[in-house]
Amino acid sequence: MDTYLGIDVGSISTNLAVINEERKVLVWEYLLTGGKPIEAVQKGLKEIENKLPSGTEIKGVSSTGSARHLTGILVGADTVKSEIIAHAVAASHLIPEVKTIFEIGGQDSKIIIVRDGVVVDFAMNTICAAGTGSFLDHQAQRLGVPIEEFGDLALQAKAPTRIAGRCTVFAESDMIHKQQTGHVTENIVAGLCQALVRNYLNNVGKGKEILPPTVFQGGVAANKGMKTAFEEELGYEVIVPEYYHVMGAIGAAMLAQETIVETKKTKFKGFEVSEVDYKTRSFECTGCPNLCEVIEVLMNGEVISRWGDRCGKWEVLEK
Amino acid sequence: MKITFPHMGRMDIFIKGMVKALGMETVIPPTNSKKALDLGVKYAPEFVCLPFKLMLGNLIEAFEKGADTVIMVSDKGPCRLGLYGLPMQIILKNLGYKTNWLILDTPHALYGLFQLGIEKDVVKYRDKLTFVDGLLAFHFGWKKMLAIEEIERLSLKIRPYEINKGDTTKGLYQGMEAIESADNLYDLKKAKDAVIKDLRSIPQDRNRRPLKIAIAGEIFVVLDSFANLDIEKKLGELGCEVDRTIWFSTHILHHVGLDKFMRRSKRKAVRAARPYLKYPVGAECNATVGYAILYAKEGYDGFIHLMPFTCMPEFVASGILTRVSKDYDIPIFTVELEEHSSQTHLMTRLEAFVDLLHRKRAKKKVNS
Repeated sequence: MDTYLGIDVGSISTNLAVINEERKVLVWEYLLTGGKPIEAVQKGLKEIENKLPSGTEIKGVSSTGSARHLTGILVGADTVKSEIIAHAVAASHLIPEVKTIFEIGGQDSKIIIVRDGVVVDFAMNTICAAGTGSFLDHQAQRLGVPIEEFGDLALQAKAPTRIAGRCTVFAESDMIHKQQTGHVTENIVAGLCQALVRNYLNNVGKGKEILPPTVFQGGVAANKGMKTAFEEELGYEVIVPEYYHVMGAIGAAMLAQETIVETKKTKFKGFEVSEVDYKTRSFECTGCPNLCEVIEVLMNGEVISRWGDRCGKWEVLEK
Repeated sequence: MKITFPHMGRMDIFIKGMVKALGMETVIPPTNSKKALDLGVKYAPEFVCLPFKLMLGNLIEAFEKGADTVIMVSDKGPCRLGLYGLPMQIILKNLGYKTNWLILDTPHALYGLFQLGIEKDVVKYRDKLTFVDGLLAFHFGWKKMLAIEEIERLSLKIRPYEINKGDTTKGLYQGMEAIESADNLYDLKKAKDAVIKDLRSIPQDRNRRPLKIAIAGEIFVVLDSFANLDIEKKLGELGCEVDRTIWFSTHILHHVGLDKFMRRSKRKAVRAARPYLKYPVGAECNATVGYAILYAKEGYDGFIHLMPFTCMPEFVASGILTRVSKDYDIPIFTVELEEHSSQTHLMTRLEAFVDLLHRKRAKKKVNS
């Protein structure tokens, strides 16, 4: 069986997904990056290898997410694409008529506007983290609510508390203030969801034409309170797809398939890469006052790639 | 007296060429770098824009190297940068630097430069500085500037075709150095021709069909590759042919009213923006909006709008551009730049933007 592998290495989670020629998801893996992208990818590859039925061949591989370039070098990716395109490709395959995609992850959030299956506009949060998973995570901890129960608790709210959501720090002090004045936890939790939705629509979604059908994906889509808050604000149903948390990886796998149609042959190094000793190190170049931080990737002690310099002096490896 | 000036793109080439011909002594601040930025951020008000911070950093570095007189190209109008001379003077005075200032906000302020040279008795090589000397000096600086701009323009055209990534950038940097070190018009011409020949001989794949993208916005961040995180290089290496709307020379020509017959002049852009903006907002706002319209009409694939975070005129433009984008069916991407801007974050969005343009082009092809 011919399959394609997509790897999405984000700040919080590393996701892998394998699809077949018909773009059906065969296996997927979701694990925490924990600040160690190389280890996360290697571990993920091992898990995927174990889960895959024997006789499957990986015909193409693609990486995405904030560690996409590093991952691309590790596994020998056929194409390296930004997560915005990966998310859009996955969503518009699962829901072909999709017009708007909300993607809220751990450290960033994006909105993608799709018309007739093509991305026409997008935006990412640029300045502030109020509107991402980390914000909810942090507040949940403060309230003593496990993040898994956060959504269900929000749904029980009778009168959501209004919380100022423009800034993470102020939202927190506002929330504490509401706690002190006697608001019950479920109302505060629901209020937080509403604040986050307002923040998202006002900042990330500023000036964008938001039309149904709208797909909501990324780790935060697990939170039912968020889905409800979006629906209340927009006035129509928001779709959370089955694989909402690994959509980036699924999209990447689809992009790998597209690339292979053109290039025919994959550059995938095989599942053996999970055994190879990869390391990264960095140094400061003192060639000019820019003091660029140059990153080196080493495979078995040998430098295989470098980046981070502005002038290109280090980027090109002497062969 | 030792003259210094803050950087703005490669404006240093022009001033250096000019003062060299006049025989004045200059202290060139080190090129914009993390160090200059760190210094600027430390002493500037927090919400001031990126250009201010970089310029302040330049000046502090130059004073450390012994400069005492500042020449600053400036502007008049609602852009805060036009008024930055004064707060900078105060900040530097409080830091204990003794400074003379010459702010070039109008073309005839140049006259002040020559006055200053005569008064302060800095003219070392000649007994008397004549008007002709001034003209010749200006001419040499100007020619040098044009030579730099010519090779920069050429590099933008070649980069998307280069086979070995990085060749063009390397050639461009070497070429800039060669032109910088030229001492007279003859050497300058020779250096320029050699650089152009070198750039043209870079191995290229001319079968590619690069996307065409125009860059506009606030002048400092458009001109300065440090401030805009090398966006031209990044786009070029992603396979896009970039056209920059503002150059140092076009900015000057516009201010002295000599850009009437230029193809893509600011004048024309401001006029094109009229259906959206009837009054001048200031700085490059009207031109930014107009350029988006002009380039959309020329069939460009995309338009990138650069602005410093908290820049008022460009913030107005960014709002209007969402309408222009819809009306003229051209994807527009606004990049807000500040000291916290990260290379990786910009790269993610640029890659996505370029992908978007590719897919749009492919779809257009299918439909037609």
